[in-house]
Amino acid sequence: MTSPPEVFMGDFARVFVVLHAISGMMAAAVSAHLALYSWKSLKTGFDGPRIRAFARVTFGAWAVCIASGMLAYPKFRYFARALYLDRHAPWAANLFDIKENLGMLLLPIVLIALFLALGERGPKGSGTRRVLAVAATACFITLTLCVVAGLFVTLAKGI
Amino acid sequence: MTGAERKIVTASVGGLVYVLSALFAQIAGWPVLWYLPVARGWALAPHPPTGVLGMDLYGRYLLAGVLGAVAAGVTWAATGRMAKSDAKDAAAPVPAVFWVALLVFAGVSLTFIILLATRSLTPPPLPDWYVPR
Repeated sequence: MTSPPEVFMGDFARVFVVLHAISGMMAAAVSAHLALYSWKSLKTGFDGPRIRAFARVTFGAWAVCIASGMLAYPKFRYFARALYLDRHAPWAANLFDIKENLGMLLLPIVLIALFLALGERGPKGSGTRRVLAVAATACFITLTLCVVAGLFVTLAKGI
Repeated sequence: MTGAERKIVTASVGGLVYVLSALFAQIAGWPVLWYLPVARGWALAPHPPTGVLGMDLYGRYLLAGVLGAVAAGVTWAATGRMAKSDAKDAAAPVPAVFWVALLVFAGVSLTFIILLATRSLTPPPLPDWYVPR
């Protein structure tokens, strides 16, 4: 009988998954604040310190989420997806790949929100504030979908 | 064009190229770097070697990131002469390319959801050490 293969970072994969979940939830929660304050800034003053902090934390948490997910991915891909999900819960395998792609596609939107929040100096109702509000809302919706999808996948089979 | 508009246009064009590259690399089978988690190696190909487990996520988004960064760099350089540092942001409308990029982002996301939700998977054979739990 052969033994299970060694995969990259396999011994630390569970730690990375926990970090992945925490940072993903943090990104979704803080992006909600970013979206709310950005929409509010269209009619009132721009709360620069708060909005800039929310944008920085959203980007930082998203980046940690992506990095930790990538480090945990080789173990998940073989031991959870290939050996179990593909056979017994293909819906979860597909949902996992949907989540991964949505999270990665978010990169330009997160960057737009970060750059505009850090550089915003326009008056209320300006075009940049509208773009910031829309981008922050897109971040919140996508990140929330990813978090919910991740929870369902983990309920089907963890590593 | 204000400095803020220039940033929005640059990020939107880079983002457009990024999301479209990620999609076309998936559906058109562009050669990308595949990571082979069990073999612990890499392969540059449209598909992983036959019978070998492969992951294209890293390679596909690396390719999309490079193409998106090049597009953003070209756009930033091309809009340099149009940008006026003293232009006021108040009356500046949202650049149309941002709305186009947002629509394309939503469309590509939806396409990925449909493609991945409707695919059928072929599980690999179970190894002899495998114990279901």
